[in-house]
Amino acid sequence: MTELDHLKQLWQEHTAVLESQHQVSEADIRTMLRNRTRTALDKINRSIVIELLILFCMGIGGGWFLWSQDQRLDPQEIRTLSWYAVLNIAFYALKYYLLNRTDITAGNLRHSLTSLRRTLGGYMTLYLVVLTLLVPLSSISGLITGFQMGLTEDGRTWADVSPKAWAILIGVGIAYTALSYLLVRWYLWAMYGVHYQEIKRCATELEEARLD
Amino acid sequence: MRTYTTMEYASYSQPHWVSGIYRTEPPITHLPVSDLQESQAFTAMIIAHQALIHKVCGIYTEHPEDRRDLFQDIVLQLWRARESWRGEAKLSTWMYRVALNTAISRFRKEKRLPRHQDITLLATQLADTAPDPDLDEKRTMLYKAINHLSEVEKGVTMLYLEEHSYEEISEIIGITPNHVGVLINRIKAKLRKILSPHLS
Repeated sequence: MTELDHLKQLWQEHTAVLESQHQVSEADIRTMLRNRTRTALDKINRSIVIELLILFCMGIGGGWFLWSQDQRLDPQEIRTLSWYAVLNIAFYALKYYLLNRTDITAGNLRHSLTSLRRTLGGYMTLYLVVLTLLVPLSSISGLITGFQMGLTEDGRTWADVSPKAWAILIGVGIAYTALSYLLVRWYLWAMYGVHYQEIKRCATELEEARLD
Repeated sequence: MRTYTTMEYASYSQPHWVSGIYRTEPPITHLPVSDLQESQAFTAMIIAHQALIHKVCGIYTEHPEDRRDLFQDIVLQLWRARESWRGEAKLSTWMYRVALNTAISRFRKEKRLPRHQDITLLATQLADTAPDPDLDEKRTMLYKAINHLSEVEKGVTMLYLEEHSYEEISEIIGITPNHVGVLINRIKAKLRKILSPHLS
């Protein structure tokens, strides 16, 4: 083991140099405490806030558009929109709860990595499932509403819709759902995929070491 | 501002970390600790133990900018977690635990660079800071060896090189001392394999 003793000696020399080269002052630490962190959970929390802001702006924009077009919503449409808003709020509340129940500093490394893996995995699954359903649901309901308006203007009903038009509508719905699933999956993977894989790998490594 | 020595911090054994401050302050008041006092005590603690954080940052990052970011993240996590230190563990053990948790679970959006790029970059950085070519070569070798290890193994290696006991490593990592021993033996074998061409 002489080579490893040699490594210990090298490490001591290196850390002594490191200590002398990097001295953080009180002012630096105070500045650090005012800054925000770059941890995964904090980043996701910030992205939740951004998504909520975008949704809020879209809601305001949609409301303004309807008002400017002098469109009146019937009670059924108001109920649908309310349900949609409630679903969104519940989704974001659940996401926020799932993320913030984990404290990466609370336990030892194995405990922290296992909780983080569970939290991130749960978050990604929830995000994928809900958005795969929610995005097509809202878009298809918009499509149906538009179609309904067109039918009403022409003095027709749903019974008058031809099988070909039904086939197109269903096809668009399926394509939209598949596309949104792929898009959400790509977005999730691009944002958190590498990080999740790394956390999973480290947690598995510790689990294996524990079972050896 | 009153400064605190490492020994003073390490000797705290009261349940709340801030309550320890009063053991070294003159007994002037029993008023609740103000945010200012708390942050002053915390700052003093970080200054006293900054070498520990630098070591963790040095082993887990390659670029100076990443190193600064990680240092800041560790400081922020220590600040958030300060209530969790109950004085049951040594202050340094608690700090290593938080620092390693933060470093290993930090956000990674891109895959790690290939090994040879890591080493080239490190070698360049080390050449800038170490005028002694022999020491520089040895340090590059040290990092080359450590960079071949996994994130978990790097942490364990650092604690081992810092001469922590198996019990302390076990407390930080979360596996039994026996399993720490097994893991260290595996790391030693890996390091021996990596280092043997250089040493021969």
